[in-house]
Amino acid sequence: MADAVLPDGFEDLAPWLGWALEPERARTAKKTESSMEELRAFYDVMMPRMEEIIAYLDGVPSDNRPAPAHRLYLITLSLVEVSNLVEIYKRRDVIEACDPLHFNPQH
Amino acid sequence: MKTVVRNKQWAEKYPDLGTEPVPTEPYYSDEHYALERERIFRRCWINVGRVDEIPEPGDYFVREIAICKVSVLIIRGSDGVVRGFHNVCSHRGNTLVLDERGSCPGSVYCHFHNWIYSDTGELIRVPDEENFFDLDKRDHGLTPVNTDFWEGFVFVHLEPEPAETLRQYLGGVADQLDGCPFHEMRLMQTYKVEEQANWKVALDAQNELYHLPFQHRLIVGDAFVKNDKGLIRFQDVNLYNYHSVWSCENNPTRALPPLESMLFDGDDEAPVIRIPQMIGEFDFFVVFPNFVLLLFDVGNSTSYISYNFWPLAVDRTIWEIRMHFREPRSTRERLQQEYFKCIIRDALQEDAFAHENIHAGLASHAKSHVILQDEEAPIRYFHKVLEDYCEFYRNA
Repeated sequence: MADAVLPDGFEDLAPWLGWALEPERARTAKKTESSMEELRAFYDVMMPRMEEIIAYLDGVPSDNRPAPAHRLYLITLSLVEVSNLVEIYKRRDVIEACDPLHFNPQH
Repeated sequence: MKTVVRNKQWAEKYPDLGTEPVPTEPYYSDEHYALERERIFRRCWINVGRVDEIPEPGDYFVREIAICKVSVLIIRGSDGVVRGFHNVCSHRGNTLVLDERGSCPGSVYCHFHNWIYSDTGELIRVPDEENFFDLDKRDHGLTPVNTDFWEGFVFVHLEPEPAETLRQYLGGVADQLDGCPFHEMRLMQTYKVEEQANWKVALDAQNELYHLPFQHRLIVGDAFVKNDKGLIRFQDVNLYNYHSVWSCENNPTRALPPLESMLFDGDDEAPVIRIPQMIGEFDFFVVFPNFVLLLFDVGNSTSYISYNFWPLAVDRTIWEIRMHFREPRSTRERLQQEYFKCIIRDALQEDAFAHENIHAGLASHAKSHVILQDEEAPIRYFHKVLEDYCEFYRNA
């Protein structure tokens, strides 16, 4: 399907297209705006699919991904972005850190 | 394991370093800041970037050395040579290039009266030239800044006649890291973090691992080898002329979070590219005064992070963080790099929060000295070099 939003086999991830964001600052901003429940729901859906996603993306040229594959790639980067909050901190109120957006990524 | 988890071993290795408390005044004193301007930032080789940032003729970047009120233009000429100039027009002193980086193949022009310079620094065109008085364009090229290179890193020196060459200045750091393939690691992300803290507060806070199991207890507190009390010990500390390095080993029994485990324990066909220049598995080089090179492995490959701490005022700093990784050879390797970038970034966000609180405490004058333990020896050495340059107390 030429106008597919996500690659074949990953259509069920469509509810998470809001995470197909770039650059890094946009992913960080969405993370900071999301509740822990929203982050956990996203994480719980994505984690079991990671091996499958990596295998799929390895079959696509990384310097010229078609738009559906690129969206899938960006959603995967978002999973990495949120994983520390979900896996390590688990709660926001234990974090003593500056505002993540204060780090001002240049790329 | 190479690490010896013994107490007070760095004071034994470097008995001249002393064990006394370190005065706090240099963190907040305007007088000390003025000495740093004249005696450190004008008299040391200062890293301003890398040659890879400007691969093509006409490519340039501009670096503001704010403490000295100097703007440096680093530009690759049509002849392929990278040069450094004061970013100032010869006519009326206007700031020449206004963008932080860009490309101007062939020539650079001043926005004020359109004086035009070649990309090798000569003045080549002056509008209404006939109306000037005895103007010889050959005498009015851009003012060069001493610029030299080591392993692709660009350094400038603001004195007309530096006392040492860059190579002499880098000394043991260059001896250790010569041949390190920095050029094979690409810049993945740059963070510019403006902080309400003295630049040395930020640098010192990075220059030890004593704080890791406490301040970073959740995110990276378990990353490195510790003694039986859960306290980190360096594998080695080396003090060079002006500079230093500490090294440590990764904790082999660390429990990996699920995503890290999935990304790093899975099949990885990527070849191993580790550099022989490393001392430990996490080497933190401080190149005096404000540059850090941090080498570590991600998966099968060596990567590096650089820090530049740019003083804007005695209580204001830009902490510039650049993360470099190998060109990834697989999706898994790319995600490993992303994972490392995020986890280090998130830990450094805890540091940035702390820097401002530390500065506030120091600037309150409540404490005349800070107290350093043996694993904070690199900080002690940094302050010794600082005083050698500034002679703030020697002449007091």
